[in-house]
Amino acid sequence: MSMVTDEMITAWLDGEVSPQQREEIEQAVAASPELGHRVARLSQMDRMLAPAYAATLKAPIPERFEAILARPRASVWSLSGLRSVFGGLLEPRQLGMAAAALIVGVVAGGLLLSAPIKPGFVTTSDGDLIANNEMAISLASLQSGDAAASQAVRIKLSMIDAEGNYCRQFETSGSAGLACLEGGTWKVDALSPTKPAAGQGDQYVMADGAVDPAIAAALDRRGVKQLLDRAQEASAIASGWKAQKN
Amino acid sequence: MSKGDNKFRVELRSLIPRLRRFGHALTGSADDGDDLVQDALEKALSREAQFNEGTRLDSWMYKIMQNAWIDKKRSAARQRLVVQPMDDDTNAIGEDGRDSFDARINLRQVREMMERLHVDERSVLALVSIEGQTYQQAAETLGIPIGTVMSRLARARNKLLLLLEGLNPAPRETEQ
Repeated sequence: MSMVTDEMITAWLDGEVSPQQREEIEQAVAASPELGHRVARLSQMDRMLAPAYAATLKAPIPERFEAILARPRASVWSLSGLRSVFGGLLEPRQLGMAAAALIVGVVAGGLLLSAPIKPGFVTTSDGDLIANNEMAISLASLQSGDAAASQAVRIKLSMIDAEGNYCRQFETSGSAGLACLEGGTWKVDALSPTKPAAGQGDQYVMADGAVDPAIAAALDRRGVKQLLDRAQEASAIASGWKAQKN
Repeated sequence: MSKGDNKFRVELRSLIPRLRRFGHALTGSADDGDDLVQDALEKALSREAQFNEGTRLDSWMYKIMQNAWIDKKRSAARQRLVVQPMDDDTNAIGEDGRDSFDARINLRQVREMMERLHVDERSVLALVSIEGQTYQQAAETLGIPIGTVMSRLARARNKLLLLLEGLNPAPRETEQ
């Protein structure tokens, strides 16, 4: 008789063995009272696990979770959110200019509220930093080297990471960072303050190794598959940054 | 607002009791578990577009919770041992547990011993034995091969059995 391993017993308890293995195990269990006893205790113990954590199944759903689910959508700017507002009225390329000129607020339940717009970020509760307002619009619509009409955001470079996500290096008046498009939002992977005196120029462009360490680390983690040239970038903007997964 | 929006939230809501159960089993604390559920809900809503219809929403949520917990453990400077008292032990314990296993062992002790497993072992045990996932589903949820699911499960069950059988005095397993 072949050796019955712990893995085989565990798979047998879960009904995850082949008919042939099952037969082997059952024969072994029948032949050894000791093994039979062990299997019985393992099985009994396993059956105590679900009851040990059953309390939440009967409990009402806590208010804090209901509140999250009831939250209006698109409090975070995203490409899809932008499209739902601007629809076909504007070409993607125009969004940056339009946003700077228009007073655009938060979309809540489809309602366009008036509010001043500033480049910025919001932090989700799990710590992700997401571009919002003009920041998101600029990331979606500007070519590298261009700045938003307000001059508040400048895009430096575009690339595709190892997983096929679009990423863009950007600068604001006080910071430099990297944002990558994930699930329709520009997730900010790195954000570093820039020195006011040396804040301009191209030192954050990936050249000659002169990259902000935080951005370099973020790029390292993601892996850069491809840098986009101007034409590729224009086409990505025009297509609304369709995913490049492969 | 997309028309799938509401359906997504309805499905998320229906999963909450099970997500809380998984969170409790994974973290060893009902409160920590609920914090994970909250994080996962926020994340799910902000990443709805990443969710692939046709894949299992429960597995996706378990995965988000598992990853969040691993991250939290990594960044935690020290290991906390949180034992949550529960009021309903007397009711929740079935005759099964009391009579046929060991009269000394109650469900709170099961939870306490679960906490002594390594988090990798606990998560696979929670997914398979508590959440009822198949090995294939658990492997996908955790991003590990099926063989690893099987070996972690076997190890987890052996350890847990040893711990429960040796309750007086209880041996300690430390988590990294």
